[in-house]
Amino acid sequence: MASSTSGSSSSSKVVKIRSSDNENFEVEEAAAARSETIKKLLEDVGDDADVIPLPNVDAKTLVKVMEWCKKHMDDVDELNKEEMKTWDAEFVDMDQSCLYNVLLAANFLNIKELLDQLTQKVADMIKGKSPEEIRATFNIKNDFTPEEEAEIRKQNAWAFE
Amino acid sequence: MARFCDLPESLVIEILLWLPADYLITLKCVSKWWYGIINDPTFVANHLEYTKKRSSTSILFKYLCCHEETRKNIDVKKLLTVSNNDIHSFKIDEDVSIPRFCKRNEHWTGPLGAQCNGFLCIADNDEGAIMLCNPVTKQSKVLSTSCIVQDGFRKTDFLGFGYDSRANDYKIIRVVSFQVDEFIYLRTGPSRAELYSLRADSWREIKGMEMEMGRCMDSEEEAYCGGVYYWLVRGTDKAKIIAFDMCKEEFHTIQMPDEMQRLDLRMNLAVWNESVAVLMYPMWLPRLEDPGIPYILMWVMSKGSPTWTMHQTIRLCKNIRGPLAFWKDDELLLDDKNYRVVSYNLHTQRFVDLPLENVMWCRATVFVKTLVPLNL
Repeated sequence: MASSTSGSSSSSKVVKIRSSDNENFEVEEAAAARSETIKKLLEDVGDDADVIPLPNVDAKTLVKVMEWCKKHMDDVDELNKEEMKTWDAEFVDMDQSCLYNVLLAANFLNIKELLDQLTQKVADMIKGKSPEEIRATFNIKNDFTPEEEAEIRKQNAWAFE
Repeated sequence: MARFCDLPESLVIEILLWLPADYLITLKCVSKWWYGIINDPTFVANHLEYTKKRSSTSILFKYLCCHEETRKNIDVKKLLTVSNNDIHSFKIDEDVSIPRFCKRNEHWTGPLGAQCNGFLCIADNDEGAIMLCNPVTKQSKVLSTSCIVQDGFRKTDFLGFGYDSRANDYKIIRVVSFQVDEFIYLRTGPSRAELYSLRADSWREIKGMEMEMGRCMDSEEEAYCGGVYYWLVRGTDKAKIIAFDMCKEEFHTIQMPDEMQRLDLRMNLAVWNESVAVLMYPMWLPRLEDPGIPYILMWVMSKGSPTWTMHQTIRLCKNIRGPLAFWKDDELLLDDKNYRVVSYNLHTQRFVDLPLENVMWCRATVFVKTLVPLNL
């Protein structure tokens, strides 16, 4: 991934990061610093850093995450807010497996805003589904006995109705 | 290939925190894992905070609806949930079922009930009985009657409900006075105040309340904001506000400047941007040929200090009967002469119709759907 020259941020300094499958990337520091984890690592190692290894994130996922970080590198002004919203909505629209990988990466890299967007996306996928549909969609095993399940459903009504 | 079950519990919690309380209740039977998460007190507390900040806003309406065919008036409670991103996308929960607990039929203009963190506090003023309920978890509780024993016909002057964040407790404050009998309006002594604590599940008297209180019975003249309950009192004397702090358990009086002493105008208390606001507007005459109210004066009390600022004059071109409540910071709900409820934006001055029809009389309050249990 080539570093962009169009960034309007004050530093166009580039940092190197390495994915779990040993691919190296050059990213603008301002973009990489959207990740609290990378920011902290950069502060700790200072300018001596050669490559920052990210042992929990594979190359495919890292490309996705850095795409988001670059887009969110600068503060968004009012005019671009709507455009950004559309971009974000398209960004989180990915297949389940990819979504969970990016979610896990955003969690490890500690990128709060991205984490919020992704968790909300999964919540939207859950919304409106019945417990049965949720178990099927997300591969969750029902470990209640039929009696226990009936008892829980009964709790959702006024006690004296 | 990552799957949902690879996500750590902390992420599953973050995901579930986005979902509305009434839906989460139905998700308890997905698995023992989810049941544990949704019932966890920390999750319940975080969900309350998240719901206040994001996702959507709910408004609880209590209104008298004229049935189209029978022309009979029926009492309706509806919860309208509106997406925060799109004011036009409404979801209506048909008839929020709240168990009846009054011996007599609930009077249709009776107060809506004070609400706090998803709890409704409904009082039957004739009998003095009070019920607390959470319409989402469907838990309810009729409270023990009182701790004040005194001869004479008892009447409630003020009733307030709120949350004490220091003690993590919900409290009801009630001011009562006594008359010699039901038909002669004559007080036998000064008002007395009592406080109910949900945690202790009991009433105790609050002593040292020596001010002249007055009376407040309409939910339009009450507001709850930042741990303090406010009542507007207009008697023969100057209009003033009585406040009760739920943490400190103290009453105090808030005076209003001369500009706000307008006997020709009606006054409503409201909460706007976490501040107390007073809405003043001309009396509406219930004759069809009359236009609606032409304007509403909006006064706002500064946070922390009881000083008042005239915030703006809301000029209305529609036939409006009166204001109901603020929601989403800058939207004001209005009761419209065409028997509808509209929302008016203070900035854009645009009106949006809400999907309620044949509304003869209405009260509204912003409501938070929560999982907070009655057994703290």
